[in-house]
Amino acid sequence: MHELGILYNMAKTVTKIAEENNIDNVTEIYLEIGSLKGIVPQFLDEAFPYVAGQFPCIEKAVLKYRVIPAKGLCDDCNAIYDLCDNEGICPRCHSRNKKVLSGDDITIVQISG
Amino acid sequence: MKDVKIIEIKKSIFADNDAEAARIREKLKTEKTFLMNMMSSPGSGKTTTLLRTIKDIDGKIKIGVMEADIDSSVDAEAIAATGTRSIQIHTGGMCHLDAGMTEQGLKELGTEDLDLVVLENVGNLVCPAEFDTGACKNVAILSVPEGHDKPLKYPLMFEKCQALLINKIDVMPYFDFDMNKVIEFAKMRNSEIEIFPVSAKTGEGFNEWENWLLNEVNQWNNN
Repeated sequence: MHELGILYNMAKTVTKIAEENNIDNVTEIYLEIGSLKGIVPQFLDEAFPYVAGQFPCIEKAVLKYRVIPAKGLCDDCNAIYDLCDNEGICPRCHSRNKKVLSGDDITIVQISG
Repeated sequence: MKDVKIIEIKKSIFADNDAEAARIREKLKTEKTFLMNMMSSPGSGKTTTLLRTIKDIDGKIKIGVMEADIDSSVDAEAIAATGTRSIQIHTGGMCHLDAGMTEQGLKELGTEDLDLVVLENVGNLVCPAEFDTGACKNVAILSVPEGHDKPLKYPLMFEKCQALLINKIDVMPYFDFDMNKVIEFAKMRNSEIEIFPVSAKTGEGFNEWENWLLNEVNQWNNN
């Protein structure tokens, strides 16, 4: 259900940026969604019209996104691996110590209008 | 035909919230008020834990409480019955509080004369952990009936919290709950996390938890 909160935050930020750039009607919003954020794309699609309806400048916008895989760098053996596929455990040395390289954020990449 | 403008942004959707949360912390620091964000599943005993904690430490520091729920004000009424200043925040269908809602709540509550404000977040182990509320410390409650595997299933919650209360230890004999395992799993997520096994019903373990809390309040407000 946190898709709703994510969308509200996105809508507020996009509205602000649209105002700064004199865009009255945003036609497209493009996001990158990290796979560690637990977003269910279907819920995002379903909730978007509801949230967009409350922010006039994105009311008619189309929401597009791509999911960014979660990559980690093993602190112990330097392997780079997919965190979701391996449940955060290095497939080479089985260590849980790692740095998250990607997939840990949701970014507004661009808007059109 | 009107030209279409394309604006490159590359901005995290959490950026504005995080900036607002940092502003809240700065203001609280100046006011010498400590904000604790309390998170857990529904029914893990947040309000009961809070009621006992307030009863024990009320004379030592001045406390205010913000209760966040999707609907109803039963929790705020239970807190207000103790004489503690409290307000109810309705999230309007949202499963968590963000920094903006917290700031509105703090304004409504009035924090200048308070040493400690407790924010009882919406009961949920997933969403509240995603948003920085501006709290000085995050505390999670996990109760025995929920099972010792929860730090494995909800990693973010345990990563974001500085303290974890394992509540309802009085009913441990009736559940297959492994205390060593839950500590191991929570530390796996966050090696720095302080863990306090407690029973909000009997008061067991509350001395250690309250000492930690009072120490945190004191450090924030006096340094």
